[in-house]
Amino acid sequence: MTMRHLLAKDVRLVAPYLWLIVPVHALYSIQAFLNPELYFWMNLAAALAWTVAVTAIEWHLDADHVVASLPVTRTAIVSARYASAIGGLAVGAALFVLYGHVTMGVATERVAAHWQGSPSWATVDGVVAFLSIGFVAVAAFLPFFFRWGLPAGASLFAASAVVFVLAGTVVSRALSGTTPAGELLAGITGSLSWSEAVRGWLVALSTSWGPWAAAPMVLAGAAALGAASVRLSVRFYQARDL
Amino acid sequence: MDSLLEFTGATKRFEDFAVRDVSFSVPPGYIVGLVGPNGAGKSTLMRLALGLIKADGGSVRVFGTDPAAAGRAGAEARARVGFVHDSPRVYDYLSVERVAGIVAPFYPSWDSALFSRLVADFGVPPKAKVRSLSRGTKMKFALALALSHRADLLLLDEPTGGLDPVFRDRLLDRLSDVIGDGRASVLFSTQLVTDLERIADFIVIIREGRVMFSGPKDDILDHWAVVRGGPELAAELAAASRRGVVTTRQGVEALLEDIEEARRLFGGKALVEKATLEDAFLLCREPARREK
Repeated sequence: MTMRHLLAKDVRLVAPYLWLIVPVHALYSIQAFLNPELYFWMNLAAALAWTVAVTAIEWHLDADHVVASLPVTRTAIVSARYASAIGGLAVGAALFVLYGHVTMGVATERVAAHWQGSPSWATVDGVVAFLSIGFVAVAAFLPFFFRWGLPAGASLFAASAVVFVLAGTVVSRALSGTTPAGELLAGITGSLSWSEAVRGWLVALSTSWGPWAAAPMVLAGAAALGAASVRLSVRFYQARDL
Repeated sequence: MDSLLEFTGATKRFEDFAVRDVSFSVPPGYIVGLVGPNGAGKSTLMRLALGLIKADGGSVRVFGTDPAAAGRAGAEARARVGFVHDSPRVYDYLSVERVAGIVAPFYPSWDSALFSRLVADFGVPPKAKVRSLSRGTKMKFALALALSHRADLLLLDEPTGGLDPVFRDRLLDRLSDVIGDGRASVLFSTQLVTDLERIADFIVIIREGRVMFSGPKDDILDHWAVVRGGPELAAELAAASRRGVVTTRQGVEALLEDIEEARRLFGGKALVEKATLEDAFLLCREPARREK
């Protein structure tokens, strides 16, 4: 019950800005003509903006201590923020597919040529890649927020993400036995195409386990990570003075 | 009946400030005034009572429950509490009625008709954005939110700040009405002693994080004395006063707990008057030792 009210609160908070979805996605669609990879990331950023917007609004207005003064538990506040983020990602994924279809539907042959050889994102694995990357980002960010608040938590999250990407790239290069400096740089650049990598893993999983087993496996992995993240956030938030 | 709110030796330390060993209670059907200068720890006590911060020592109980407890108990206790924070900025880009629409569902006892009546009575325009309201009107709105779910305990952190004298007067009347049935109680923090003179039954004086006095207002008004004398009386007054002695350019002022004794000791050599709450607020310097 309380969760429902907390989710309704988030919707009401962001409601005055929901009209932005239309022009923002129109811009994305234009972008999609030029770069399909960027289309993925910009849509994902828009979906994650839901969580960032709600979090930033409450932080900016010092509303977190007002919300915590209501008859709600801190566990409910944390859980609702994750549920809200998942809702934002789901809506974002739906718009990602919808606008992708619309864009390709109206694209001229010359413009559509940009997408040749690029993945068609409006597929199960494309959507799963969208949801799983988005959820990993949420699951990684929120514990920072609930422990340190917005300015400090966001900065620490950003710094940790950069370190994680660089370290991941270095380790993966080292493990593959190709560690020259030029290749390392290429690896770092390449790591920005993680959507491709995730999609590649999905395709590999599909090949091994069948197309309908791969998506649930990846989503189950994301859910397990999410559950661990929720527990961590609850512990952090219960210990925090507001 | 047990107290609705009870601090027992509550301590909370921050980097540069602490409230220490705070003990007082809010019984049902009474208004307790919490008075102290800026930075005395009034808001910290309110935050402790709402469970926003956890005490490092001692205990805080709201309806017999630790408000900072992790489970449902703390939340259930807060369902019976109405609050006004000292800086009511909540969701200020939304309209009054939208903010009320966010807050209302959390309270099972929310009374929409009462809320509509209160905002109309307080002159708060329901369609206006909260940020467009003056500080005083924002405070009225926060009060309407706090009063609309018929809370058993109101925690009001400087609610009269920014209010004009006419509305302040009406608010104080309304708070008296709230406790009229003997069930609800109010903890009311302020720097304006005149507010407390009108409505408070009990007074808690806090200074530098320590409770200097907690007890019935009438104890001060009926029994306490302020003694004003020349500097030559400083040592004698310091020995006689258990509450506080302040040296000014004109001489020495001291609070004594027994006006008859003050007259007997200092009647011939100093000015002895009944103490007002303002005297108590300004002069009380020694931590409370005898209050229950």
